[in-house]
Amino acid sequence: MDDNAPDPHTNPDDAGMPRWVKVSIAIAALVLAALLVMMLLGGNHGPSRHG
Amino acid sequence: MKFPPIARKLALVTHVVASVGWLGAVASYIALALLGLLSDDPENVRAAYVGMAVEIRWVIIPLSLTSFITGVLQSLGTHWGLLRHYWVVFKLVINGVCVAVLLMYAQSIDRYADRSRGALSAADLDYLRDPTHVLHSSVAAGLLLVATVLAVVKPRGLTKAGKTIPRGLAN
Repeated sequence: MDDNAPDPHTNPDDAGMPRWVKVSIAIAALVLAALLVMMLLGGNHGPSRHG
Repeated sequence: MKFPPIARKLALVTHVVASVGWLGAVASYIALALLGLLSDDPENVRAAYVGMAVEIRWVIIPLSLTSFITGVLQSLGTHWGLLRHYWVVFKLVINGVCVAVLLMYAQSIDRYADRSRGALSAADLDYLRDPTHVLHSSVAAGLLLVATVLAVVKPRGLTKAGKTIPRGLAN
């Protein structure tokens, strides 16, 4: 019996952060960075535009 | 905090109807925003902006707030919890960001609708043909679509809070 085999009764939810979460966080960070760059470069956008 | 079954079902139905209705309303808003952006007829441009202002105030904002409030209630009143599962946290963030940006954006659409009233000069039409409306609504539709997919698929993954706090207490 392979001692390194995963315990079949282990709940997958107990593993580390799932890949879909890491990928989603990376995409969100890229989008936020792009928005920040646009605003810093003088783009006419941001919350101050509203109101 | 656990709700009785009838309250959970009522909150769930209200949440689903409000959330999907919100996405549908944003889709129709994109159509109006495209009309306002692309039409050569000043009457069409005016109609688009007046319609967008009405739709934001009387359809989209009420649906968004209903979706947000019932979503929080739904997670607090069930075993999912508000911070236990990544997909619930993602939906909460998406919903919260969309509501916050929507409330800010709603103030500016009133300005556009006011500008569209009366005879429209070439300068007015230039001002009104702003792609920001198509951009805002398209990004919102994309985010709401992601939230809908998360709600249907419910991908696995417990947060740190979900791992350390017993089920039912991570609310």
